[in-house]
Amino acid sequence: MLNEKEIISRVLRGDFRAFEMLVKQYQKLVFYVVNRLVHQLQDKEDICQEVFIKVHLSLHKFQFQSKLSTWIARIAYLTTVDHLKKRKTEWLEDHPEQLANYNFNDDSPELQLVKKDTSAYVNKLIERMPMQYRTVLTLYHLNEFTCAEIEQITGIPEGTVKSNLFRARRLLKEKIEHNLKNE
Amino acid sequence: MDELNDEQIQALLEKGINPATDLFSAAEQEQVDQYSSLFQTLKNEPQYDLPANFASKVSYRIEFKLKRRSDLKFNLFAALGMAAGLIIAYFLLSIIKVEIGNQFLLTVFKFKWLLLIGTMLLIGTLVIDQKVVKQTIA
Repeated sequence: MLNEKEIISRVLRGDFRAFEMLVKQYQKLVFYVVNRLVHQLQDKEDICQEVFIKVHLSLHKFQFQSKLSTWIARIAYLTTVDHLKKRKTEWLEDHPEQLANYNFNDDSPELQLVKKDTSAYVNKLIERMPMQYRTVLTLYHLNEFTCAEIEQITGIPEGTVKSNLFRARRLLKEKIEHNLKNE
Repeated sequence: MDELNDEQIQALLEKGINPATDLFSAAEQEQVDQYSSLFQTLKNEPQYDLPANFASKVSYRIEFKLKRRSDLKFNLFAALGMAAGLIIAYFLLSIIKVEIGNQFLLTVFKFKWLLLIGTMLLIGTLVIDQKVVKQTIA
């Protein structure tokens, strides 16, 4: 485990080996955030690089008021959202009423193919969900942030994070249940 | 006992409590099992697509960017230094003798196109250099 304070002060002194260690420590976290929101593989790597360039540029502003992972995840989230806004085709703003009434459509042939592999099937289902659901599921279950930390990262109020998590999980559970009954 | 609803089951699993099986009806148990399995699945890491040398790639990109930036600063300071040098030389010569100062100024004006083209070439090279580097490391 890295000593955050020591590694940050080394990076600020211009130590690139320390920065590489920091990247290695947090690259999975950044990748998981970017991966769930962006579909193009090349874009994913470019955004991840952009995130760490921003981290390097703004590290002197980090005041240890939150965990370093939360701060980096926020940069990753905002960078990805900016990228999606620039590519308007992929950017879908989630309206609250659309979110509350969201339901999965019929299975695509791609989904049918991975039905037997629950993990792959759930990942494909998450890919089709609204952005807010994808974000909270990833940050909570994969990156193990608390709802309060997810609020810090995304700016979505904690109560909304909780209800989105609940709805997203219920949707997934119902969809899997429905498939099991149809088999 | 009232049956547990979705919200209560999710809350229990969030707290890491695995409810004792003998407390539930069959229907309830089925719901708990499904949620429990979903929570496990959600923890599975997706396929990781970043290259093995990702950290060194990012580090190299930043290092290169910073070096280029300092080169650019150095060149701009050199150009500014040259211009300042000419101005200082003019004032110093004018202090010694106004005619020498004026003669110096006339000589500089005589080569104004050479100086201007030189400066433009320097700035042009820097701009092209920055663009090429940006494309190379992208």
